[in-house]
Amino acid sequence: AQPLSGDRGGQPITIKSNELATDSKSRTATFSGNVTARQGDLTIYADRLTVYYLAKGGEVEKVEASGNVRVVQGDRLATAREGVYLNKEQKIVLTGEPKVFQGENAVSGKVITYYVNEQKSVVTGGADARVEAVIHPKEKGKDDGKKR
Amino acid sequence: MAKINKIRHVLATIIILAILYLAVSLVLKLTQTMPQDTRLPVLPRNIELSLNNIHYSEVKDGVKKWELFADKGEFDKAKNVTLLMAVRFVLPDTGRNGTITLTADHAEYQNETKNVTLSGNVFARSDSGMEFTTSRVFYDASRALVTSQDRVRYTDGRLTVEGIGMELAVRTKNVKVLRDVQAIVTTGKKG
Repeated sequence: AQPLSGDRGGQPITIKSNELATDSKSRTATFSGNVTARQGDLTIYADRLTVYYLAKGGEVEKVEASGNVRVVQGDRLATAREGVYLNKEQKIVLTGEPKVFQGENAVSGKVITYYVNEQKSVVTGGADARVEAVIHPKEKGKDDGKKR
Repeated sequence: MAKINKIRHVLATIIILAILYLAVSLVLKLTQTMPQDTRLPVLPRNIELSLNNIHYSEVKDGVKKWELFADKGEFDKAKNVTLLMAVRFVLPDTGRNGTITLTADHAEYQNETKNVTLSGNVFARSDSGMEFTTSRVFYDASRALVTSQDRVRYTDGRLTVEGIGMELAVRTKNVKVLRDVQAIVTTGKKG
């Protein structure tokens, strides 16, 4: 699948929250309380969001979201209890009753890997959470109807 | 006889006027010759002592905790505080993020608790590139904590944040922004 947009991974992430706490030892910045994080056309909502930096160079390694996680991108919506956004790979690993909705279609499972730059999600099941998909076939166009 | 008395009166008047004239010109001459700057300004009633080019420092167990420099300071004995102007407050490196230097228009140093309040254009910068600006901060000596209740702008090269209220732990250089946080996280290499 073609990447959706340019180099989102290099774009800054704009974050709003009630509070922020940095920890220079663990190289993290934790935003808590009504958190909204936006990068290009991708928006993540959560109760809490922690940004992890690499030791060398200080790049963003990953962003961990937890508590009422919602990911919105165009007509795609993903919900879960936790989500880890891997900036370099441009994907979000969702756990804790993850679901992805696109239009009327929906998939759920134990773990969903949501590819940010591609219209693709990989769903894996588990003993306690089988993969489920609800696919609404596209209705046939009106002209077809006339032929009958 | 009357005429002699009259002459005496006139002479006495002339002598007195001459003496007055000499006294006044002497006083004027003295005040003019005295250079302006040596005349000390009259201190406000509550100020016990006024000093220039002040340098305070706090050393504990042989370790320098902080240094406070000011162009001018006035000691208020009643409140036991020193009011400082044009201030530089240095928090030495504790092994992480380097030395932090804060500058401000004013400061109030509480001699007993060794707490410091900095106000007016407060700007802080550390060796590691961390910076913040606000209008007022309070340094709690016992907790080694710099706090502010006002709007703050903080950056450390990876993260730029605006918010209200802040806590900076001097030992660890960890920062909390307490309300209304808006941040921009640079995802690439540290600026």
